[in-house]
Amino acid sequence: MNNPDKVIHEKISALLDDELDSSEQDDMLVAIRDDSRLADAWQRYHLIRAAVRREAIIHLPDLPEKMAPVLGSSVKPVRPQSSQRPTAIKWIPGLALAASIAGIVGLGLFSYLPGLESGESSRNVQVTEMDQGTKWQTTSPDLEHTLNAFLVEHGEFTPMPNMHGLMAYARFVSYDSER
Amino acid sequence: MRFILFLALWSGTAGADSVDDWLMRMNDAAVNLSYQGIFVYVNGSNLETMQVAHQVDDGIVRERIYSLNGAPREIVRDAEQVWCYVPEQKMGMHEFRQVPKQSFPNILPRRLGQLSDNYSLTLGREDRIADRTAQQILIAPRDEYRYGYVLWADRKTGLLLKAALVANENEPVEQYMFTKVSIGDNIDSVDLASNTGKENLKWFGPADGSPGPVNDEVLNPGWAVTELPDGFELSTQIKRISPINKRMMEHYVYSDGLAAVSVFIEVLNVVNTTPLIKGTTRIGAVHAFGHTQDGYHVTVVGGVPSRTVDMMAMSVKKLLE
Repeated sequence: MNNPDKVIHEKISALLDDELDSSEQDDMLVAIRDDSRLADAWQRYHLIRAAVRREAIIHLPDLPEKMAPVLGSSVKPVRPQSSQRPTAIKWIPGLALAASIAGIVGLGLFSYLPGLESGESSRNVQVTEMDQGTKWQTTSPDLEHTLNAFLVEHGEFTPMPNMHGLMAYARFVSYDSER
Repeated sequence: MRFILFLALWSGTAGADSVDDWLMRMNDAAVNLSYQGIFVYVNGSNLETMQVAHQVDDGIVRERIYSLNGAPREIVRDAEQVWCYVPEQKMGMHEFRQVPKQSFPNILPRRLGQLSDNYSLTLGREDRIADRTAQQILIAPRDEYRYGYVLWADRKTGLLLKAALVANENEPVEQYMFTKVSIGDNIDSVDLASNTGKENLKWFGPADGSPGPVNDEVLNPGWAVTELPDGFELSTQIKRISPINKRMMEHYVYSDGLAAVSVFIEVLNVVNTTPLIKGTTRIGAVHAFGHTQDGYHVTVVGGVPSRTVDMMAMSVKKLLE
């Protein structure tokens, strides 16, 4: 008899690897949306894979549109990150959709899924990676404050500060939460 | 007499021939020179104009940076403290400066040697910035875990007039450049004072009003980043009450001598309502990545590519006590 947890993990893995048919994908996404345990597992899988497959995950701009009908929510288009080396992108057949789905989580769109967060994780505020801007990309105004405080604290420890010149402080002063 | 003239010239402005010389001169200029001017800060397609006044008086630095467009933010700092004014949100952040005792001048010779392991350092062309002759210095990373730097130093004084952080193919990620600068003149105290009244803002700062302990010598760290890019090493650790959420936070700083990455670790607590970062975000060349692990929240912030903060955050491990 199959272990239910093992089956769930295999399905999440299959979803990430684009090994499910469209019907199964829809079912799995709805299940993730409605089950906090699945959502947690999904996040763990994503984080691990995000660390390993950064290039592929962040280079799938058209996925939010594909996922919108399934998620029943408006999602933001995501631009690729300019700091990544274009030549490093390896389009692995079958990885595109998995990367796109992962991108929904990794690029901050997970917070558009209702009911995914519970308990301690409700303090987690998703952030969105954009390729440029004078403000942190986040769905939470409070998080901007937290990130800015981290930025100021970090700036105090930049080594050889005189080689960075005014950069560290310019980041903060240029920050405009209205933009 | 001819020999004395030669020595005078060699030790003066014409003496900085190597990259090391120029880096030393740049540091010396930043530490010892007063200056004020207007500079532009470019971040992707965004361009901001700012004003800076930097005064050095008997070795005591006072500085004010003020935005000339958009939200009227400013930073005022002296040798010990920093005030960040955010008037559009009616708040401010106050911090004691956390510069470690091993500051730049003392560590430079050792750091310069280490830098060449991870960066290629060369002199570039002569250029003209803010109507001054500048020497370009090129610092190219040897791997993809750090940015490169292109610096333009004033040939006469060594002051950094323009700086760019560059990613692959020398694509600028972030840069600033003086458009007008006055070096060595006296600075009016009015130019060093904030335009915004402190009394009108809600201030966030150290819980007990003190800077908290900073350990330059790393002793018994509770956590470690187990996957680091070559050349990065733990340089500083701090454990103190966070000015952000008034709770104990551990702060580790890893550096390769030029780039720095901060790792903030806090215990999860259901009472605390401070939002936590989950995933990746960025501002300019600085990336941040947060995730929850074993009852703690880990936030990694650094002026490095996203792959670096991601890798470091995911490899944080609690050490056995």
